[in-house]
Amino acid sequence: MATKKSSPSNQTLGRRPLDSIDSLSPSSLPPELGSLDMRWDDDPRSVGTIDLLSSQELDLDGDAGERTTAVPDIPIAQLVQKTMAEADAREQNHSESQDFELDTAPDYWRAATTSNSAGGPPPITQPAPSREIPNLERAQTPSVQYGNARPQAQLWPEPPGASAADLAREQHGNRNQPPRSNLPPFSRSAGALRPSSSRPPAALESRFSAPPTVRGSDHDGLRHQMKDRYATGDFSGALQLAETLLESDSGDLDAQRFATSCRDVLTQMLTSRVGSFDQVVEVVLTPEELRWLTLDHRAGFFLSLVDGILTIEELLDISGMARLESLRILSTLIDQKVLRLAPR
Amino acid sequence: MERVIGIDLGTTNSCVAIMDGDTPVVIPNRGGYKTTPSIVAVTEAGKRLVGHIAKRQAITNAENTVYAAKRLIGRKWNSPQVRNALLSCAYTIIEGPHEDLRIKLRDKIYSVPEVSSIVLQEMKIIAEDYLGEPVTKAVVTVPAYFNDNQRQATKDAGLIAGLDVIRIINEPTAAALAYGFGKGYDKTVIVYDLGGGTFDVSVLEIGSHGVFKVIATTGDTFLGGEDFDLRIIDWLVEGFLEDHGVDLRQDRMALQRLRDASEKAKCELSSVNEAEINLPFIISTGRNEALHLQRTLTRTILETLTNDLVDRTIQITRQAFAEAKLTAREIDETILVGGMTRMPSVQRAVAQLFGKEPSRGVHPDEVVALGAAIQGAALVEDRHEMILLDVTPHALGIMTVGAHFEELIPQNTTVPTSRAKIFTTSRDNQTAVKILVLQGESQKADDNELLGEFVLTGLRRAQKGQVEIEVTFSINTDGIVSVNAKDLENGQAQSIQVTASSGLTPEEVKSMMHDAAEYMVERRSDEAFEGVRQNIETLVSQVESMFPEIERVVGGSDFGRDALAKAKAVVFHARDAVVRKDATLCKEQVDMLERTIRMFKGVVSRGG
Repeated sequence: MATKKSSPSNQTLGRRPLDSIDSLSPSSLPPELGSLDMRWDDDPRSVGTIDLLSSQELDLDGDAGERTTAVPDIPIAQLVQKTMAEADAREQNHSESQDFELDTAPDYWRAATTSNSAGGPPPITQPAPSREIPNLERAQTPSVQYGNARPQAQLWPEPPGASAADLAREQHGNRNQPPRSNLPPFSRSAGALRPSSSRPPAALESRFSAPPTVRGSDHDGLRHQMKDRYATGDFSGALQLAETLLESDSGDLDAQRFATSCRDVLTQMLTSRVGSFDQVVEVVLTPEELRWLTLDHRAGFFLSLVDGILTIEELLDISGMARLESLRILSTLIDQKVLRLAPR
Repeated sequence: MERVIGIDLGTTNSCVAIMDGDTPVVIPNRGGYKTTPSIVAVTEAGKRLVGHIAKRQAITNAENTVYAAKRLIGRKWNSPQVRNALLSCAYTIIEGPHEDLRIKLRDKIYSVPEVSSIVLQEMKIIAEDYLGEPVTKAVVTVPAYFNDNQRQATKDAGLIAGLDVIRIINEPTAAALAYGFGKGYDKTVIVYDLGGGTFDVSVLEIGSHGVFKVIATTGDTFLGGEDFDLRIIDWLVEGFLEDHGVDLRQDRMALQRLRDASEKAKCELSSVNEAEINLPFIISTGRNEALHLQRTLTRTILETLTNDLVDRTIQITRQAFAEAKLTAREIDETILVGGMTRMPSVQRAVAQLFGKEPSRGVHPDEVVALGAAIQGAALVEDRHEMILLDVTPHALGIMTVGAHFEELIPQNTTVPTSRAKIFTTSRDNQTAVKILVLQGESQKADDNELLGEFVLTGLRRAQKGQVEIEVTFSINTDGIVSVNAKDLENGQAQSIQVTASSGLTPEEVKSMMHDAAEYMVERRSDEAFEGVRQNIETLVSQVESMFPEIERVVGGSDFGRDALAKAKAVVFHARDAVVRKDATLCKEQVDMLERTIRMFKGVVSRGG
């Protein structure tokens, strides 16, 4: 805090430089003065504009053991591997017996569900309320890989519509397990309490009686994968899966919510990476050098728009692609040293 | 004295000019281009794009990009031009509340004058940025064939854009004005205007006493540079299909690139013999690899591809001087207007038709705007020798039996004017006549524009041809047409006043003006903020670059640490103000940054 008195050396200068700074609000002073936000730029929790779910909706105050995003004792990668292995084992068990046994659940899950079942609310029977979902544009699967579009910190929003515990419940297929009481109705997505390997609900099944792009069982698998990936912070992967689900059923509210949330987070992460949209984009390579790159036509199109005059914002406006897709391409081309940014 | 700008509001490109002393000059836009595409788009985020930036996304965002709004301005919903547009335009056209049409862009409905006003507003901004002062008056050009409704709609577009359109003049007249400005010519000229989307050809008489009279005008509203571009695109697409078996027409991004490249190559071929078209990564094959398009277009190929288009312009030109009852030899000069007239094959064809080279004294892209600027200056400076007279753009008359058009006021009659003609009844015992007021040149009433109608009743019962009715047409200085029908026997009379309508009510125009003014305030505010933002960026970078030196000089002392901390706080607040887009806060931070720099410099000079 800038409350130190002027030292003698200061006084020797014969004036009080920047005296008006003293009147600044201490709450917004720079880091060394104790108020700067120390979070990483691409930490999703630092995002103010993303329509992330509220803490209540995200079930952040639940038992830490229920949340794969808050496991302090083992690294997240190990946890994911473990969870997936357990899920595989369960799938195998299910093929042998449809009855779910609590004993087959992992320890952390069993502990959580046992405590919940004691005082939890009755199971929810009403369907998820219909909500008008805006028509979402689907980003096409990029041909370039954006594996680095992940948060550096291990703090990311929990899956929309369900906590990790809910996901775990789905994987276990524990029909007797009541949902958590503090989940809002919308987050109790349709089929959230059904066994993972059971048949899809009748409505879903009839929807897939027409030539489907994803079979019912694949559908469930994809949904679980989507949620797993989301929970582990693989938003690109979760988005791809959500879009695959939406291709089969554009009215899939669950997939829509995941897709929207993934897009928001990814957009914010990429925005943080490229910086101010007022920067002018320039091509670094010559046309001859460009031809040696491995780009798809969308990146080629984006590249063709770059004229050294247009800013990032203008390029996003005219690219004709979803903002996220354009940002991905821009970010990748900057990483590949094909493009560079310059102040306007 | 307030400056009057001259605007060539074109179908595909617009241009703005001003008189600089005695010389008319074209004002370049921010990108340095002297013409701006007359294209308006709305992005997914709801942002408005105008000009080159809108053109660059015209194919990828075709549903929300309006081009060639001029073809629709002042038209009625059920007109053939609108029917045609409904089939060919990618954007959504819907019926308006006054038999007019509206355009839907994203979630907002625009009238056509409103869309044109966006382009005019852009021209206004270009002029204001150049002059550094507000501009409120303009002379705007329109094609010679525009009827009163289309002219009124153009005036309304100006009004919405915050411009008082003090005169609407014909494009060929403006071109002839720029050509003959101050030269005292007495000539018959032909204006061959091949623009981006339309072709107009007009025969004019230029009098030494400053009279510019359009004798005949004709053209094709669907023939222009874009058709030439399409031929190149077809050639490229077919070649690519042959080579790779991939149809590039199926991909919007590929098409957008093809269109841009085709136009560029076409322009290049006006000065060189070969143009390289190089479009890497134009399409993906599905095997995670992209194909490149690389072809060389020669001038010979281009001329072969577009030969028939040039021929069509020549046929229309022949038609124009036939309508003017002149031969090619009687034309003293050919004025070429529009970027397409730079094409050597066009120039050759015109020269061949008239047996002499066309005039090279005018700039084809700029000449119309220059003429408008000359006229604007003449109007405010009261230079009568340069002032064009307002004339009726089309003949006015009524429908007679057999659906014939009976002309009362001929085309190009100077206003104000009044003409009368006597008609008789066409049936026995006819007690009423219906007067249909029409505008146009066709002998068939149906082909002309209906301006209004009224019924004169109480006629004496008599055999056909015995009752005489005098019909009088009057046009006042404001262009308002009054039609009066009078039974000469009993003095019974009925009249109608016809005012041109753009399809908008005065309330609608007012509301649109308000919206446009709000947009302008917002835009100017954004621009002002941008200026401050750039200043902050520069100052912040200057402050930060001084940190190491300050650290070295006084970093060890309490004062030094304090000063550095405070300077960092200033930088933090400045950046925060930029993020918040708070103009007032930003200005305060500029002051703080400047003080910081002064203080740092003082410390360095003492310590160093």
